[in-house]
Amino acid sequence: MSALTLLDVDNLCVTLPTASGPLSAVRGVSLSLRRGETLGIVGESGCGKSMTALSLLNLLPSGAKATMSRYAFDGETVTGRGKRGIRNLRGNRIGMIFQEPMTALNPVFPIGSQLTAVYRRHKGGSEAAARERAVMLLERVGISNAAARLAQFPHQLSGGLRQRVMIAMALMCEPSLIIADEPTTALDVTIQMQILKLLADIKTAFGTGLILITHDLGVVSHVADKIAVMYAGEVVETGRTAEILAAPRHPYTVGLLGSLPDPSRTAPGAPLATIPGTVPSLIDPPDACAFADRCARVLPRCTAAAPALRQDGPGRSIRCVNPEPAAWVA
Amino acid sequence: MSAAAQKPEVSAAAPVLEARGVTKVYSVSAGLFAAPRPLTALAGVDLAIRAGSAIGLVGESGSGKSTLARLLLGIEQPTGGAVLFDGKPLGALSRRAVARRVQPVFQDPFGSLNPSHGVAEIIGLPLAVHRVGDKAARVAELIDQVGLPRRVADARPRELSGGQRQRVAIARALAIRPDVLVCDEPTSALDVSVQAQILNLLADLRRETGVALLLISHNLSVVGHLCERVAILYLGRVVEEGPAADVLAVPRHPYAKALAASVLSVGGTGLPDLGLGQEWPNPLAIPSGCRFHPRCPSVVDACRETDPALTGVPGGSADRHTACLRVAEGTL
Amino acid sequence: MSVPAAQVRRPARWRAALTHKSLVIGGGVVLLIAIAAILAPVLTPFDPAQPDIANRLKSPFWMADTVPGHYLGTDQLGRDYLTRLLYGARISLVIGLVAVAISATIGITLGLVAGYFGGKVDAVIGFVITTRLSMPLVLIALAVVAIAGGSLTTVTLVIGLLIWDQFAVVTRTATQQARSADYVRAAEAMGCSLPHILAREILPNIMPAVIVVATVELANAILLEAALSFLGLGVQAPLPSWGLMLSEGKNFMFFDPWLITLPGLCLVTLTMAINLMGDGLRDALRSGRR
Repeated sequence: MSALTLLDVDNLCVTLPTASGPLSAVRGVSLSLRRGETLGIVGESGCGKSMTALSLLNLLPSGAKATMSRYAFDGETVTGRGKRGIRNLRGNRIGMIFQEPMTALNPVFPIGSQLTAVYRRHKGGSEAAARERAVMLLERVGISNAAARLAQFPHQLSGGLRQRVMIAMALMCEPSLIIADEPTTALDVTIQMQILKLLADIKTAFGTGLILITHDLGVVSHVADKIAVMYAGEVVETGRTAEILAAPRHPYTVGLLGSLPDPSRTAPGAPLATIPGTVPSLIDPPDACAFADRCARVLPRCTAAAPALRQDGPGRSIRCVNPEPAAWVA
Repeated sequence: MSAAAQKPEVSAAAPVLEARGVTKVYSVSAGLFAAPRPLTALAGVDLAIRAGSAIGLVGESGSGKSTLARLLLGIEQPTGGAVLFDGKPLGALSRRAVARRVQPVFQDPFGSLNPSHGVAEIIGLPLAVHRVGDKAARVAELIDQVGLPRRVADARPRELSGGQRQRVAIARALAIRPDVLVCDEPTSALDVSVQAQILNLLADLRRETGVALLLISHNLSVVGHLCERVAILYLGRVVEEGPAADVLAVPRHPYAKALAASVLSVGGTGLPDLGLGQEWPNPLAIPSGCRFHPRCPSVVDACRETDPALTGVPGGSADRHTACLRVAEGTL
Repeated sequence: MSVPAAQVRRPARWRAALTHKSLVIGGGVVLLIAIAAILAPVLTPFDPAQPDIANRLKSPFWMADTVPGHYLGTDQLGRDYLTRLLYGARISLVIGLVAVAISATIGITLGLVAGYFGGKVDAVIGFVITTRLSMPLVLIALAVVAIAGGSLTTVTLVIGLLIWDQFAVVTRTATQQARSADYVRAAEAMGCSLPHILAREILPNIMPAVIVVATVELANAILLEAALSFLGLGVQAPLPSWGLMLSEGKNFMFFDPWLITLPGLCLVTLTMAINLMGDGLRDALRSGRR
């Protein structure tokens, strides 16, 4: 592990209790992120991308259990320090941005007191100092008339402004890492662009690491340095964003990219590629490739044993025994 | 035998469903003792849907696109202007007559199907309401047509996936062979791989049944994929309108440009600066002059005073229009 | 995102089991009482209104002064007490069910109309509901019965016309929510008639809430009937109402206390069982909707 490594998580598993038995929502995910780097985690509903993020902050729904063989943040091991360890990271050294700011901001308190409360809990100091920092950050995230805004309640702000307040709140304690879970999904496209730009600026200015969880491959393409494609609770393909998106190798990544309408690639009205079948149940998943049932390149050994994530060129890994040939785009 | 095939060819040129100068003003309560404030959702919108065509309606929150959908469906009445079916005003037709011509597909397939009813009942409801045809046979035919297995007929909506539910909603909308489907963000609640299936289905159904589509979406790629024409709505006004390929490739109105630049396509990198500032469109406080001027990167003084009309684009094709002073005078 | 809500719900098996149990126990007791009430003529050879002066105030079977055949003794007129309790259950259940049917019809109709139309209609109905809520239930019932005279029909009508408020409030709120659902908008766009939309699209989805209110109001109506009868303004002698039996038995409470404890116990058991059943139903319906 180099000194630049900010986050190193190994073999993360999350189990959720359900009426029909425990559901393995995340099955052995390993992540690593360097300072100032952006990792995009993409996948469809139920692939475990949000559970992965929430387990890093111990914010899983009650009853859910997370285990990991290593959790190191900024060179220090978090595993074994229990809840207190993660709780100290949360809001302090790791900032979190959610999809719907209305659910994350408390509607009965003005935004000012919510911003200063986070800061004073972790850093102490006077209310005045905390307010000063709050005003500075609100201006930094592009909110005009910031001092007056402190007295406003979340419902008095537009969706875009609320998301900016959320970002300012995540930045209050100068975190080294920001985890953003679908931060722009609820926003209009022009506002989405502004928020993504803001996140990118902040990353450059403060050297913050960013984990961006999204279903939108376009967003990842424009924002993330690295990408991890998740399917059925596992990372199926990961590497540099540009390389993976230009030459996807896992059949699921290939299918996902092919299903996007893009007037510059597909003729208008022409049928889009689709992925047949549905995601397997993660209650008692079989010991086989989770994508085998839907895969056009399936081999007998795909259903014999679950494939392991293996090296696939420099900085690139894949969980597939029969990937697309590397040169398919050329 | 599809409904469109029975119609004479001449109707292809005349709009089957048309909004002409439509305005819609709601009054919003501002508290118990305050006078209600007017909310102008639509301020003079023209939109024509020709038989068998597909037109995309693009806009952000507050643009009035969902209000326009409700007016075209006849669920609400315009405060000004008129909605016309085959040139006849909506007021001259009964609700049931309107319902037979135009049907909706909603965004959220979890909210649009009654959880208390079975799938066969949901798809068959329009047939029962309008007392048309052999219900059982038509329901089976529709289930096949939207690519669902026959056994879903007995299922409840909660037993189906999001994509399957959206197929059920589309089958219900098609049951009485309407001329127009008004699809309000039909895929934005779905995963991308499911979105592709639903877009393919809509394209197939259009080919097979000749139904016209009004596709309301914030996703320009989806609109560009499915529609021949596109209209871009901003704060209750159409600001740009024309052939989808032209408008998306070379947008002229500054807002259309910003929208096009906001499309994050796979393979692209970096984030352009849209130059829109922090103002956001608020239909309770519509700016004077051009309603886009507070966010416009190309604003000039005249924009703050003059409200531009939708006019032809100099040098553009004849069926292309924008509402921008600077485009009209040729300086943008 | 990620996982359907139903799957993330807590395991809490004991709670699920208890939910199940309260429905089973409550429903079981209610069913038992209902069957006993229906089968009263079969279960007992006595007439509930037939005095037998020779066998006045005999004790139940576990006491000394008992008469074979009269398992729960006799009252001050020598009428078999078990028979009167069984027939009393009939009165309670019939009045309760009819009153709830009347109040549910009124309340659900008002609630549906107010919730669906909103605006001025809602304001007017809201005012009617508030007016009703501001009136003391027992006092109004007393006044009406005192003027109109007590009888089975009057009491049922008065109770039924008074306890619709909760139905209206709950239906109105649930309708307001269902009204904005897209499936209602789809029905409107389909050209469905208003009665169809209210009865077929909205009502089935608000039934769980209404059923829970119905159980609460059933217990409420039974207690109200007992109270009115106890005060002599409800069901009139010689009909065997539990409230009336309590009232008649209170004169003998020092020497023959079973005369008031037995009907009291019946009332408590029935209302508790109904409430238990309501709790169980609420939980069962709630989890069933997932």
